Formats: sequence, structure tokens, C-alpha cells
Amino acid sequence: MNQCNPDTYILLVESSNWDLDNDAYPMNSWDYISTYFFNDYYMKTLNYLKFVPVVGNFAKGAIFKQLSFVYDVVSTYLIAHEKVEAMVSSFPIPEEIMLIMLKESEENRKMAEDYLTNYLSVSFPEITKSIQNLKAAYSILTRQKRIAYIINMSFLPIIKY
Amino acid sequence: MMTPCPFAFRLLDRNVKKSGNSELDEVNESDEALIIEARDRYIMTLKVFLSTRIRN
Repeated sequence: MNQCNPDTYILLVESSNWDLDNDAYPMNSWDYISTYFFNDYYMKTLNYLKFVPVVGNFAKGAIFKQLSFVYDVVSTYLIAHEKVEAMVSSFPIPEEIMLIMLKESEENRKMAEDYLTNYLSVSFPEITKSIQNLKAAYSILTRQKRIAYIINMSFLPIIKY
Repeated sequence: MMTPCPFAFRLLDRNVKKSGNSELDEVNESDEALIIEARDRYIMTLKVFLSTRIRN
């Protein structure tokens, strides 16, 4: 459920590698990820082109694609950090170090959350809603597909004989 | 009983003095190592989790 695109995965793994390379310093993967988003020039150009007759549709498509990518990255980043934060308590590490880890992770997560709620949802409410709808629809379809697969697999031996 | 050569003795002596004088530093260093280890563990867990989220 709620799976991410391959591009999203690549960017998130790159940000994790960035953190691994700088493991002597506090985690700052959000800074790495956000450099991909804070390119206002690209968005401004697309917003300008949106009203041009011929290329307008392409520009609208590109805006939607860019924002859905951003939304996918941020939402997956948030989910991943939330899940791993819940797992930290099972790590064989002292409690004070666990708290340090949680604090670092929380700082990154809060910045991502802030970006999602205070920028994306406010600046592009319709696009955010349609992306959420698409993701929900995809999740339902994936679930249905899995159930259908299980049913097929359980009835297959009966159908055979 | 074997006696160490002067250079080895000086080196060992310096290390013993260093470790005796800065117990606090050693504790901090070991804490730092633990933090780095925990950080690596956290990031590797994150990567494993991400690999389960990729859409086929």
C-alpha cells in the first residue's frame, strides 16, 4: 500500500547514502532532498507557459508531474521516518543515544511535514487533492489485485481437477 | 624478562599517559562511536524500509 515511484525511491536512497557518507554529523537528508524542490525558476517558467495557447497543456502536465513527484517523495519520506522511529526502540543501543537518534530524525521529519502542509497544500490545493485521490485509487486497486490473486490461487487447484 | 626498545617504550608510555589523563575524552569518543553506529543502523533500516515501498 501507498508505494512510491522508482524515481522517488532513487532520490530517497541517494539522500540516505548522503547521510551514510556523513555519518559523523547529524542526519540532514531533508536538506539534500529539498535542493531538488526549491528550484523556483522551473516552476515559474511552467506557470508562465501555462497560459500560452499551444504549450499550455504541456506546461500544465509538467506542473502536475513535478508536484506529484514532490508529493510522492515527501509523503514516502515521512512514512519511512515514522516507521523507522518506531523501530529504533528495538535497536540494541543505550537510551540516551536512542533519544539523540529520535531527535535528529524528528527534526528532518518536521521540516518535511512543514513543507507539505505549509507550502504544497497551501500553494497548490487542487493539485494536492487530485494527487491524494490518485494515490488512494492506486492503493485500492493494488489491494483488489492482491485479493483477486489470492482468490485465484486458492481456487486454481479446484479448477484444475 | 624482555625489555622494550626505547622507541617502543616511549610510545607505550605516551599512550598510557594519554589514556590516563583524558578519561573523559575517551568516554566522549566511545559515545561518538556509538552515535555513529546507531546512525548507520538507523539509515540502513530506512533504506531497507524504502526498498519495500517501491512500486513494481
